[in-house]
Amino acid sequence: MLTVYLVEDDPLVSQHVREALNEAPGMRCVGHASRLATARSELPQCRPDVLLSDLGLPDGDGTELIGELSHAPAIDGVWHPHILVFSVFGDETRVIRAIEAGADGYFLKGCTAEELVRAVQQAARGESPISPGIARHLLKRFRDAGLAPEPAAREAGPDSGLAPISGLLDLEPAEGGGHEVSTREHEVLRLVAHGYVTEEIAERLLITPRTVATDVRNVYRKLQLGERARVAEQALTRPGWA
Amino acid sequence: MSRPRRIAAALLALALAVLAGCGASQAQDTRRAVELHEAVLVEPSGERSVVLPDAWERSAPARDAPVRYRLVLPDAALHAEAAALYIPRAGNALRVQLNEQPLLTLGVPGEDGRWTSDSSRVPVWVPLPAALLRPVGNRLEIELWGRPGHDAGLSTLWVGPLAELEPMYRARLDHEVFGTWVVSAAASVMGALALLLAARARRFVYACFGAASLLWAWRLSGPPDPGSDAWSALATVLFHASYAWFVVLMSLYALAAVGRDSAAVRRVQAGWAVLALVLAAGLWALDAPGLRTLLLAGTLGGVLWLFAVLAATALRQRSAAALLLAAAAGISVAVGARDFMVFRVFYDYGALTWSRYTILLLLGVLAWLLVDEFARSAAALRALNDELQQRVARKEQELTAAFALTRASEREQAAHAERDRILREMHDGLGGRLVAALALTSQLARQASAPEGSEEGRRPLDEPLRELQLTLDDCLVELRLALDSLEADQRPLIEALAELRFRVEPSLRAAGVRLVWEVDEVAGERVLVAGDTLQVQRIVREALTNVLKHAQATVVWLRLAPREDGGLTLAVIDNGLQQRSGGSDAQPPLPLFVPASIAQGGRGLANMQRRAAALGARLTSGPDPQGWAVVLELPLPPTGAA
Repeated sequence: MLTVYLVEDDPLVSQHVREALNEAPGMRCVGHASRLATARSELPQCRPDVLLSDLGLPDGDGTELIGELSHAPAIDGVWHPHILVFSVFGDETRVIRAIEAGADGYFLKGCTAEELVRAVQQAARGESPISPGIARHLLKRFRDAGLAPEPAAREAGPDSGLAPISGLLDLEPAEGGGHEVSTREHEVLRLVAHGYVTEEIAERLLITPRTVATDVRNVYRKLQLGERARVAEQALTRPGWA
Repeated sequence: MSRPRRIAAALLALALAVLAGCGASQAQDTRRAVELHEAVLVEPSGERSVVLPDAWERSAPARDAPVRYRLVLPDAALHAEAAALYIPRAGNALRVQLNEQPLLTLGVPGEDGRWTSDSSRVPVWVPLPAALLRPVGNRLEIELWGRPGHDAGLSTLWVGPLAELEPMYRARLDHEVFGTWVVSAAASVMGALALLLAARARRFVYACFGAASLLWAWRLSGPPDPGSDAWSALATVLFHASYAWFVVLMSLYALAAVGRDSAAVRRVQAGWAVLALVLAAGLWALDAPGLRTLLLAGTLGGVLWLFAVLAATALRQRSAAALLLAAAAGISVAVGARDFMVFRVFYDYGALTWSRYTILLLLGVLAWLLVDEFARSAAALRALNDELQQRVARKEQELTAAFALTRASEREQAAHAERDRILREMHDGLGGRLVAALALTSQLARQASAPEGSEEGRRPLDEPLRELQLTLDDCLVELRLALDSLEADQRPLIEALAELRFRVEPSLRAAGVRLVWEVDEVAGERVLVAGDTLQVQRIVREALTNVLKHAQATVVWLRLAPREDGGLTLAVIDNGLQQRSGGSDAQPPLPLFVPASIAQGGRGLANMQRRAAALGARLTSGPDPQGWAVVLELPLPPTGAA
């Protein structure tokens, strides 16, 4: 049985989502909160598999809650929910900030019940949804940070400054402290940004749709790691923090 | 004003020093040399005793024949050591004999009556050979030639020890030769400089000063040689007039320098200059020493008047220039009066003129004034420069401010245009859909509340409900697309289409329609203007919405491909019904005030045509082998936009 916890302040939406989840086989909404404070106190008891969280809440931003959950050590060494962010518009800046904080993806408010259920199931399997806009932003961000594999480097061989990233290396954790996206991840992001859906990308890259989704999840992980490293670095360089 | 006072004090000290020096030179009473004041004048008419100095101008203005002066030398002055004879001035030519033995001949005219030089301009120095001296009763005879109007005459004579007389001779020589040379050179240089300055700066006052200086330099060379040609006559006249002219020119300069010149003053000065020339000509023609005295007295009067004016000006203005010039004029008056007394009243033939040195004073004043003026104009220039710089800086600031203002207003305009665009989008798209949704709800309400048996009540509620759901979904997608279009950076067409697909894919899936994505990646990299991109999105979206609403299709292809002419072709093709009703009869009845375009959701072909026209593109819609095709032909991008 897949357990879901909902943080949403709009009663209508909240009701719709809970009904949709409870009607789905093998899935149950174990709790819901309309405020961050309630969620904070209830979550450690409920320990849901998936957390659905709105961003704009009366007593704060859902990103805060996500950050707290992701950065806290896993309770009893086992519990750590998959987190999906709820958004009306899916505007990239907010969503990416949520992903950096530890979210596994997002879905749009107003989608059908089937889509919602599918998104929760995918999240529970470790797959992450993505949109062309977010893919575009991520590509730009990795390119600006110099973490994207250069097309030239792929052909230039080992002599070029960047390590050649082959299919074999893709299985290993990427180099550069794990912040660097692999060639395939990059390609996945590019195809998403160009409008291809998961199934089409899988077809083109000769992989399964699930692999595509986990690739996206890995990209998110790298984004989170990069963000944490940046925060740690800033903390170290801040005066008074010897 | 402490500076003018200091300068005046310095000038006073200088004058006192000069006077003291003169006094000292006369205070020697222990010398053994003897000054001879008496002689016997031998003329064709007879012999008589005369007192030296004997200026012919007074004693015999018209004498034209040589005469002899006979003197008995005092024995005491001759025999102690080597003796010498020193005659400060004798002219115009002379021959000296000691005890009937010739000693010296100077400038004696030849047989033809031609004069070679004027001996009166240099002192005469004759060492007396011991061999020619008798123990007692030595007789000296001086034969003297003179020309009327040429300052002939004989000064007192000195006889005595050579060692004692030589310094006196040297001093006189220095004054006559070296002093003249120095003053003349200085006056020439400054005069030339002043004339150059006048030519460059177009300043009349400097021309006056320059001309006066050069005139003075020329005058210092002494009266012209006593020749008999026309040039000599002209030069003689000019020489006599030159002193007056010098004073006139210097007056003009000084008065202009202190701002006291006027047309009347200039007229008077010019009149006096002409009168002086007339007097000089008369002097030459008539050999009347009285005219010369008149000329010199008039000149001295001119200097006196100038001094009075300058002094008054200095008192009132208290400016350095006026003070200096007044002091110079005052000294000139004193010196001129002294010279006038010595030469015109006492006729001291052997005396030295002091007037020639007054020019040095004037030169100094001019130099100081020039330096002062230069410093002032340099300071003024600097001030002007500073002010200019400040003004430039101020202007620059104003420009920057104006530029910033323009930029701000441009930004504001751009923001305005963007807001207008968004408002239009909201009105055309979202607004229309919401009105339609509202209409649907009222229709639903009517149907729900209709009595069971009526025609309204028999209609099923599913259809309008599904319609309402679609419409609201449409609204949400519309809003999301509008927000997407607010993105600051421009996106390639393919990314805009990707966004669109992401937004409409759920609706298509829910309706059981599969979208086949056939986008040429190279063609998709084309970047359109932000507004155009949105228009393309809208057209595609309307085409897809139409498919959803009316086609009953299962597959829809979205194709983007380059054309051979460089443009792009975008096609939405579905495998649904080839007969499109246009959907108007399927629409629920709406309130009267809702316009038809909104009633149909603004989704008609006409709407797409309108958007295509705004893009400059061509839109066709019609049957296709696969079903139904809406084809948008985008034009070639304008050069430089790609």
